[in-house]
Amino acid sequence: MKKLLAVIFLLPIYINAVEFLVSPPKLEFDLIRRNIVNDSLIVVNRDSNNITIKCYFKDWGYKNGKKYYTKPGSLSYSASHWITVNPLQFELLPYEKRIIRITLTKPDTVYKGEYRSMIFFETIAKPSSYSNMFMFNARIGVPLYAEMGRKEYIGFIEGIKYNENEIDLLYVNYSYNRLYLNGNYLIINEKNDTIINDSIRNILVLSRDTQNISVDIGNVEKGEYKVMFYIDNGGNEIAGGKKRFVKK
Amino acid sequence: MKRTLLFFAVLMFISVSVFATGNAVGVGTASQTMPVNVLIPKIVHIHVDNASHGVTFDFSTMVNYPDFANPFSWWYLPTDPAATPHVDLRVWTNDNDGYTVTAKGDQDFAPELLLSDLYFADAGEAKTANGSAVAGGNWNAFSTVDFTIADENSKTNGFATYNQDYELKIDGDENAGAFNTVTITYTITGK
Repeated sequence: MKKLLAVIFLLPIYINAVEFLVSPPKLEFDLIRRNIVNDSLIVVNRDSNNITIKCYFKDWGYKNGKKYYTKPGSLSYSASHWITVNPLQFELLPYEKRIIRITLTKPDTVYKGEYRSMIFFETIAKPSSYSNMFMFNARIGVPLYAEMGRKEYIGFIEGIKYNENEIDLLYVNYSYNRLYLNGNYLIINEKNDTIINDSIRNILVLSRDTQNISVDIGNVEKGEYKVMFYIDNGGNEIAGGKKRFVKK
Repeated sequence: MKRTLLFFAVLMFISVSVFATGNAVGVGTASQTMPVNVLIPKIVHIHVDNASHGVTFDFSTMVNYPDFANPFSWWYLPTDPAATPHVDLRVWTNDNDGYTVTAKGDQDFAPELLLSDLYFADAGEAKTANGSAVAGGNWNAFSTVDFTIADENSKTNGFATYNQDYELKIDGDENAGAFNTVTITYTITGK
């Protein structure tokens, strides 16, 4: 009886979670020869409570290395106004799955480039008797990319800066499409010994944008070093850069 | 008659040998292959616990409110949940291009109790000491703009946990009574 009472007492603490998934995590469309494309996303409620989900779009980008979201249509290369989603709001029963249809319609006049948007699926929080101070929402953003033009791999290292405990490399993506940077960097001491050899993995640089790659050298002892970068943007050539620095 | 029986016996043997599938018949070593397919969909998943049930700062039950021993600002952890973590936050994606996790709030509690008076940090962060004008450690103030909790360039290995704790800054001008309900939104986006 005591066990039963304990379970009843604890139940309300655990019943109010939000847990859902979206598949796939990203949408990519080729609009070179087509004006309208269709696809679908699957949204699944992974919890034992009903949830209501609303869907909307935002423009997005990176500012100072941080992702930000802004009004649809406010950034160049925005595809937010091209998207139609059906349904825009829906309720999911426990563990229910829903197929969401996505239609992308290209405007008549559009310049070469990779256009993008973020499709958000957000739970609508419901008031509860537990607390009137807070409610919690969970949100999943699915990036959408629409390519208008052949993929290109034009980018370069703009500069390498040394800042006390950090080395910053600035990479410029001059392509009309996003790039994912891979590669590695070496830190070599005065005796020509490599003291750090680490990888650079999958760093996203949006089209016609820049990205900062920071290397933490807080654990490197005082002395004179050189850092060497090798950056592969997926194209035919690998970009290299090096800089000497003195750690004080 | 014998010839007819022999003919049928040979015919049956050939039929079984040629048309049988899924069986291996023979003398000595025999094998049969069967393909096994595994299909795992690409997904992005979020789990926020305490959702709807909320986090409460009930100052009527706090023993050190008011805190006569220290000047403002005073810093308080929630009364419910009393134990860390105050919010369970887990994400999962198998997209190798990575993900970003962010948090934001939607409005102030009141004109004198701002959204930016509410701070969050990874679970287990020590509370800021009363008397400190600014939040210590790794506490970050909530705002209406998404704050990046994590930005990764690879998939998660199963669930990645980003459990959160909250603390609230009190500077003495707060009115008694009910406040606006603040909605906190946790987001995972792909890349």
